[in-house]
Amino acid sequence: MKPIEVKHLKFSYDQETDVVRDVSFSVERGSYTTIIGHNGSGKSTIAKLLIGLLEKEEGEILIDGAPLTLENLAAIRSKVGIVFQNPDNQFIGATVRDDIAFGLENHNVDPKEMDGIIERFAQEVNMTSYLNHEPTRLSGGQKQRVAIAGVLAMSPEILILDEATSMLDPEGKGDVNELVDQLHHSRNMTILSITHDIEEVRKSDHVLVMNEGQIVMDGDPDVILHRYADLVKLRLDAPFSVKLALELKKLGIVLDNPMDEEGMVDQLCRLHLKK
Amino acid sequence: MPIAFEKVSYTYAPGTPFSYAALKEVDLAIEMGKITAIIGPTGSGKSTLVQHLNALLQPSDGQVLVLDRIITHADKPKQLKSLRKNVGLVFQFPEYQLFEETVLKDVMFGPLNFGVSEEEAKKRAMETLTVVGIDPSIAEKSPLDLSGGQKRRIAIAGILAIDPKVLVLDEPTAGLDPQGSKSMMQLFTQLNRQYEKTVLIVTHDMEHVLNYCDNVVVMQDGKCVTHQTVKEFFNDGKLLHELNIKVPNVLRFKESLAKGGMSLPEGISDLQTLAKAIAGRIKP
Repeated sequence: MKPIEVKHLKFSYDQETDVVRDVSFSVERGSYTTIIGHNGSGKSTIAKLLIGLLEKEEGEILIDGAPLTLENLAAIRSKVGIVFQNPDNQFIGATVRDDIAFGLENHNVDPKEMDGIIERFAQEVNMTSYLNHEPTRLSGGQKQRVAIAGVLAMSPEILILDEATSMLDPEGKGDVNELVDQLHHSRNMTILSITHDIEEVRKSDHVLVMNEGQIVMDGDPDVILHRYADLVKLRLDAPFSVKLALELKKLGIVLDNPMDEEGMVDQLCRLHLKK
Repeated sequence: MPIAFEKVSYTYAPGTPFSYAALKEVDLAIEMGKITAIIGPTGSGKSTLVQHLNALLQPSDGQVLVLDRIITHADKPKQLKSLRKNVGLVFQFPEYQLFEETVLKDVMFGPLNFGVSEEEAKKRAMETLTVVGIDPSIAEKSPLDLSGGQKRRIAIAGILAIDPKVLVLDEPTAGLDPQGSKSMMQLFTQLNRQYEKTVLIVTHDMEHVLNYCDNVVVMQDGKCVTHQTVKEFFNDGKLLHELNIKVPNVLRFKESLAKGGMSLPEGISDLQTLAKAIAGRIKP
C-alpha cells in the first residue's frame, strides 16, 4: 500500500481551463519526493487537492489505500501534514506555545499531556527557547520551524511542503532543509516537497516535473536533471555542473558524470596535467 | 553626490522596552547610473536602509542626501512627496498590494496620484506594461486573476509609470521560478542600461549579484561593512569567507580547479567564458 496514490486527477478553478489535467503518480513509503515546475504549472494546486483544501473534479486520491472523500477528510488530515510558502499566513496563536497547541486542542488532546507534547516537538525543531515568544517577532526560518512543529504534533505520516523555503533567506532555508532531512531520516517520514531549489531535487529520491497541469517527467533526479534542454523548455533550471558539462561538450570535452561536481573537477584537472 | 547616507542611525520604537537600533551611523554613497546590490543576513538593516531612500523612514540621527534633497529627522512628511516621485520603492512580494479592478487602473494609480492627467497616465501605463513584458491585451483583466510572476511585473510597472530616476527593489525575485527570476533580473539590467535608471536591489542571491550588479553593499548588524565593485568583492576570498558569503557557482568551480592545479585568469564570471577558458587549457 502506497502512502499517496493519485489516479487521473483533474481540476479547474473556473470550469473552463484545467489547472490539473489527468495527473497520475504515486509516492513510496519513507521516500523523499520533489515536485518541480514553473510558476503556474499546477504544483500547489496538487498539494491543496491532496489535503482536501480543494475538491477534485475527476480522478482518485488514495492516502494509505483509502480514497480521499468528504467523509474521511478528518482521518486523512491526521495522516498528512502540510507547511505552506508564506510563514506569515499560518499563525493563529499569540505565542509559539499557543500556536503548537492549536492543532492539539482541535484533536481533543488531554490538556495535561499537552505541555509535554509541545515541548517535545519544540525541541525537535530546535525552538524550545522561543516557546513564549510572539510568532510575529521570529525570523522567517524560525516561523517555518514552528509551523513544522505544529504539524509534527499531530503525528502525521506524510509531510507536504509547498515551497516552504522559498520566502526564506539562505540561513533560514538551510535550517528548514536540515530539519526536513532529519525528519525524513530519523522518523522515516514520507516527504513530498514542492520546490524550485535544484539542490533539494538533486538529493531527493524521486522527482515529478509539471507543466501546464500535467506531469511531463517522472523518475530518478539523477536522470531527469541531466535533461537540461528539456528542463529549459519547461522554464526550469539544471544543476550548475550539468550546465557546465553541456558547454564543455559543445567545445569537444566530454565528461563522465556531470551530476558529480567533485568528480568533474578531478577529471578536468587530470586532463590538464596530461596535456 | 546624489545619494548619500551621512552618519545615519535609525532606532525603531525609541524610548520603549522594544527599542531596537536597526542602523548605526551608516556612511554610504551610492553611485548613480549603476546597479547596486544590497546584501546581508536577515535583520542586518537592509530593508531599513532602503526605506530611507524615499523617506518612508526618516533618520533618527544623521542625514540622507537624495537627489539634492537632505532628509533629517526634522523633516515634515508632507514635504517629501516630490522625493517619492523620483525614488520608486518596490517592496517584497509587491503583488500582494495590487488592489484595482483592472491591470490598467492599478498601473495608472501612481501617476494619477502625482497629478498626471488621466490621458497621460493611461499612455504611461500602457508603455510601462510593455517594458515589463506584460502583453497590453490583458490591461482590462483583473490583476487578481493573473499568475504570481505576472502580478509582480504589474506591481513594478505601477512604480515605473511614475517615472522615477531611482528604482529600489526589496528581494524582487523571491518565490519566482528560475526562468522567471532570470528574466526579472534582465528587466532591471534593461531599465538601467536603456532607461538610465539607478537601480538598488536587496537580494540574497549571489548569482544575481555576480551576473547583474555593478556594485555591492554588505550590511551586517546595522552597519555597512563593505561597499565596492562586484568584481573586487568576489575576488576577495578572505572577505567572502569572513562574511560567510556563498560563493557563486562559476567562482567556486574555478577555485576547485585551481586547487587541482588548473588556475584560470581572473575576471571570469559566466558559464560560457569559464567553459572556453577550461577548453583552452585542456585541448591541444
